[in-house]
Amino acid sequence: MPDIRTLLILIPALPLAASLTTALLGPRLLRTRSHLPAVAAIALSFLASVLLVFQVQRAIDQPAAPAAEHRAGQGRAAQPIGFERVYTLWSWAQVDQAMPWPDQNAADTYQPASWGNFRIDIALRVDPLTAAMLVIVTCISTLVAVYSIGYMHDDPGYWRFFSYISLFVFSMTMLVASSNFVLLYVFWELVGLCSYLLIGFWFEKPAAAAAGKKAFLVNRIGDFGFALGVFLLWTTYGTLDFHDTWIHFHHTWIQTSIGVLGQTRLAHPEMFASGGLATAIALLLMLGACGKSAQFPLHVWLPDAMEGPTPVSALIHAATMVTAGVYMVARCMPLFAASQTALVVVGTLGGITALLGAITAITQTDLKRILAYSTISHLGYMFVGLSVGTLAGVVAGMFHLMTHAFFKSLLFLGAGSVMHAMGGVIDTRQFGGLRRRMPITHWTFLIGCLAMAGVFPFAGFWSKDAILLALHQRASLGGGAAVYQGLYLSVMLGVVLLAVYTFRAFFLTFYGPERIPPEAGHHAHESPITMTGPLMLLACGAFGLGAYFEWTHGFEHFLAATPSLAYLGQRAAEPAGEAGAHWGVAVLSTVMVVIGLAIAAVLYLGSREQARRLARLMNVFGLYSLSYGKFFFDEIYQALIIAPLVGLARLCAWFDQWLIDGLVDAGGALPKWLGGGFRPAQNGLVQFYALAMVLGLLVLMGALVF
Amino acid sequence: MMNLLTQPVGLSHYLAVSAVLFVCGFLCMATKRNILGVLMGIELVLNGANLNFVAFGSRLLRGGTSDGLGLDGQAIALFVIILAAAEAAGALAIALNFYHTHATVDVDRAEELKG
Amino acid sequence: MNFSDLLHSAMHDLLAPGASLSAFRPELTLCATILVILLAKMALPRWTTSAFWLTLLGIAAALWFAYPWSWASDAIPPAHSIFTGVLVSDSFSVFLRLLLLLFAILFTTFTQVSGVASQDDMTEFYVLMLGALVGMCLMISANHILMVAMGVELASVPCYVLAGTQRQQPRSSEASLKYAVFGAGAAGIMLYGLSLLVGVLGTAHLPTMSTRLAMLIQSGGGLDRGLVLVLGGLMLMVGVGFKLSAFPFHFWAPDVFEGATAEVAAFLSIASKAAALGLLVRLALGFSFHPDPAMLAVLAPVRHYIVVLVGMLAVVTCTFGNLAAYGQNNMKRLLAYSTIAHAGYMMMPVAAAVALVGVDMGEARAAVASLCVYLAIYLFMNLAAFAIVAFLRNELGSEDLREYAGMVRRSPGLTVCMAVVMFSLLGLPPLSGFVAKWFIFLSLISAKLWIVLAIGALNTLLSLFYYLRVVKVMTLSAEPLHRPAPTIPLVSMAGSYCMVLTVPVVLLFFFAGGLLNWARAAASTLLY
Repeated sequence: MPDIRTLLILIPALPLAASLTTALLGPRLLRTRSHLPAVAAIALSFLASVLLVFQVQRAIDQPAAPAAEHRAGQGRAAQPIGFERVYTLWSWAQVDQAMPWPDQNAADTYQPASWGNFRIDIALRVDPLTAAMLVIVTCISTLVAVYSIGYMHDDPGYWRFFSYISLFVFSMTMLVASSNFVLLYVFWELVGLCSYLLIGFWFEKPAAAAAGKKAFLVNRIGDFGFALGVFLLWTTYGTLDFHDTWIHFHHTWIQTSIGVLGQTRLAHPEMFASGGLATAIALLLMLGACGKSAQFPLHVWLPDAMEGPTPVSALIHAATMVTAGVYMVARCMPLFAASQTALVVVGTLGGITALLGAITAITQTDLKRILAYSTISHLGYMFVGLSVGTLAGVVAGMFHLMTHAFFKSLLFLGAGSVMHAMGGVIDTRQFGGLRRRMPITHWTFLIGCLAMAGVFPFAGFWSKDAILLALHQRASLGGGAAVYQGLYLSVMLGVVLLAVYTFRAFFLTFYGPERIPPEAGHHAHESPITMTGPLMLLACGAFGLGAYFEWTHGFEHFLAATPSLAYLGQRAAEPAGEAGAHWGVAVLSTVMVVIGLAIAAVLYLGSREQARRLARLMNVFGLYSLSYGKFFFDEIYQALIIAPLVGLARLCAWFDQWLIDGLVDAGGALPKWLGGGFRPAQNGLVQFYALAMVLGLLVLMGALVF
Repeated sequence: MMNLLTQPVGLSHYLAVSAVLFVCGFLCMATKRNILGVLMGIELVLNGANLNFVAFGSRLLRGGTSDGLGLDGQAIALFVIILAAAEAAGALAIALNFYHTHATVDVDRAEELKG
Repeated sequence: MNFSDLLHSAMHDLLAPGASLSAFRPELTLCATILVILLAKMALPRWTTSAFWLTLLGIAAALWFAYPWSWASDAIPPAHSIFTGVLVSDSFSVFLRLLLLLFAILFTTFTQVSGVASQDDMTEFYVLMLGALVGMCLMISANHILMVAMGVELASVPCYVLAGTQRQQPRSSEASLKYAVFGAGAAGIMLYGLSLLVGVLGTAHLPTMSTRLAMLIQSGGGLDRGLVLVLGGLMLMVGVGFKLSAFPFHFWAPDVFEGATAEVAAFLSIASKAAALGLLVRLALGFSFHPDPAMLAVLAPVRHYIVVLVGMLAVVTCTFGNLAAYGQNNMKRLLAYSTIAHAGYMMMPVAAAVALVGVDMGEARAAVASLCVYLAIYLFMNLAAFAIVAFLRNELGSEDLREYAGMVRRSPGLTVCMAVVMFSLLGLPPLSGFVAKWFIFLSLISAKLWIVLAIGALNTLLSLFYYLRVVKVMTLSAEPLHRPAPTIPLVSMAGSYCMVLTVPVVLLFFFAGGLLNWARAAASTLLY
């Protein structure tokens, strides 16, 4: 069995190699075989991730290695908590004493000598959080890559697609494995770039190009906040590493820096910044997460991103990349936990987003957009879970991240299968009653819907339940209990909406009279095995994964060994899990789901007249239009931000074109004009030259004498 | 200002003559249209300079003081004569060539190159 | 002192180790080469390329003698006058002579690659060039007014003829006529000015002249003598300014450059200019410096006069050259004005050096060193520019900038060379032209010549437009429809010659330190 270091390097390296190979050989040599390197590399990467999890699990079960104990004795961390390994491959940049030592508190703070040495190591880390993310990412990627073989089979950009996908997997695995904020930021941007490239994959379509641009620009706002957050971290902590660094010197280990999330700081929570500074850091990081994970108010790019190929929507815009924000917040949980205000803001944003997404999803007609809004809503749930700030909350959020990855990619791939059969049509008003023509898609889609709606015993039920339970427990404690109470109620309400829109989409697509749009042609049949195979595998995951982990507590225990999360567990004693509350929450949420399911069945299973009547009724208050118009966010942004900016840009352009250019042109024309003035003097007559020479002599004489 | 006409012939007289030669030469150089005339003007200028060199080099004209130019003046004058001859030879050859290409020795006709 | 003593001391002066003749070996070699070429032409009429090979050999031999082999091992020998004081041999003259001979080698190769010296004219062409070279060597080591006059004339007269080497072309003969008339006039005025200076000061030996000048100022002098000296100095400046093509003595330059071949223009713009600057440094420092501190202080008004004169001429020349280069379409004329502008830049450190004499001798030497750096870099830049013009003339039969349109597609390598040279002439990093300007501006800063500095910097900006226009036409303009753009691959004689010149233009930026060391050594024996 390969050691951890080898596995950790292989996981990103294989997709990178595949990406380069496909990019170089794809257009000429591989062509229709372009999927081979990508699928093989990503599958091997998945295998390596699974092995890595086993290695990590084994390491957690074993007592800590002697070297680590020895090291711990030298520093301030008496006993390392959790499990982490950091492997520094090479140093990317180093500037010694990039920042002076801050004067205040210098005396009473233990700081190693390397404070302020700006140093970016290419450092990979592995801890349970990373390992779990790696497995999720590579697993979904493998299935989506296999699915894409069928879905993209006659696309002219076949090789390009697989090159991008491999690059994305490389970037995403590096994002979760990097142990430095700068690297995190670099790969954060790189996954954004992949997202941009893949949204605009069919760049000939104006809508796709515009959507790519929109995603990129909206993400820039978040990334700007993230960058500011990183700057603030640097000035606050004097390092950007997650981990502590040590050097081995004369048979002893000497600590050279205290990582932002390192063992030393975790053992001494007073070393975390507090108060306004902590809030500022956390909120700036959250702004980045809002952009990447499509949270209110930066969620507007995700629905448009559905212009990309459906496998991309499944992989990047549902299962993996958009969860990078969730991962980042979970990773930096100690920084968030240092500020209750920040946690409340995270929860509020998540709650708003969850409801907003759910309400919007109810009235949309584009199947992929319904799923996109549901993604936004579910990401909101995850942030709500994280905002609890306890170990249970974070685990619940991450648990939901995992189950969501499975059922949402299943649903997207199912939608892609429908779209494939319908000849590219995805508007639910144009097709219906497809259950007979596409049985496998129908059944797997049903499992996905059940999982997403949170029906017992499907995966979504357990993760959603965990979030609700964490909220419930948090609401019973002091310190912002009212906020968490509100969040709990809104999530409960959201569950109804969730069931309604999920099954609305399901019924619209697969039930009712059979309708096939003319674009479908001869395609209107079940998809090939490369597409249905991944669907079935994902369906298994969506069905059983939640129950398995809930009963074994494997996920919870595994994740709890992450140092930054274990610290949470140590910090605040968890309230004893009341079995009664647990059952109460579960029963209540199930009731909510059943209500939602019933509404959807009544409205959409039979004649849809009632649905239309209800829509008209709701529109009396403008509610239907509000939901159908997606709360008019695009229009509001257009009027409030884009229009003034465009106006300003026009003004600047005018200023530049007429004033600046005019000045520069005049600056260029003046010497030409002056030079032209001299030309008659050079009249070609040598005697005139002689006279001019003597004249010049006399002028000089005069100038010098007088 | 001493009156040159009432003084015995000395350095000043030589300088005055050389100045006249210089001005004449320069005017000739600047106004004659014929190349040969221009070259003659240049010779006059050079001769003016030569007269200066010789006059300054003369111990007699300096009143016997030893801080004068001495033989250096004469030597420079000799060299200038040689240089003038060489220059004249070159310039005349060029003028001849100019005549071949332009069928004239009028300097005003050399006005193709300008601007 | 009887005759035999005189003879003995003369023999000693000539033949002793390290004395006159040994220091004069490069010049003597050049003179001997001239004789050998002329004889070979008569004795071996079948050997048609004898002149070229003999010239190359002669210059190489001269270079061997001129190379300061002892600098590496020993300290640099102090300045010493040779031939009873008419010439001076110091590191400055050694450096400039080295530069001139290096240029001569490159130039001789250039004429052969471009084929300008046809087989009939080859002998005359090289003999004239070598003659001018000897004159230039005299100019840069002149220590006596006789040598100033001799050097200027010896360097000028062959150049008049060189400008007219294409005898059948009216433009060529017109150029040489104008050059001869203007040059002879300027030489006449200079000689008259020299006669006044020499006469008033009573000596023709430069160091003695500065002593006499100091004594004259100390004794109160007299207004008439002062006026005569000012006039004489100005007239001397006419001659030097003519060689430098400084405003308002520059009028010949554009016409001659346009009429003569690009090769001769390169010779005039580089060798002639380097020699003239050497002479300017000799004269300016000679009149403004005296080893005795008391005398040195007395010479302050002279220094002020020279700084104002040279600084003013530099500023005006530079600005005029850059302005007049606008709107020129003939490449040689454009480069002529560019050359005038560069002469202005190169006069600036001379003014700075004179201003620093008596204030800080080390800084004054540094200013001269900056001039040496500029000259060395300018050699490569300008020769490369003229070489490309000449090669394109061979292809196109034209020197019009507009004919270069769209060259980048056919001759990308050559276009890149031209772009590098133009950017370097403009003074953009990372090209050596930047280093050259940088050191000059540094010397101006240390001399506190703020106005000159400001105008010099402004001029760099001014020159931007016309240099970039050349690059723009070659790269952005469309290829003419009626004929393909010229094709000169880099792996041809012409192309590789351009490469040989362009590569130093780039490298001297990165290895400016070595050049600076040479330049510092060159200036180290001045002002003692």
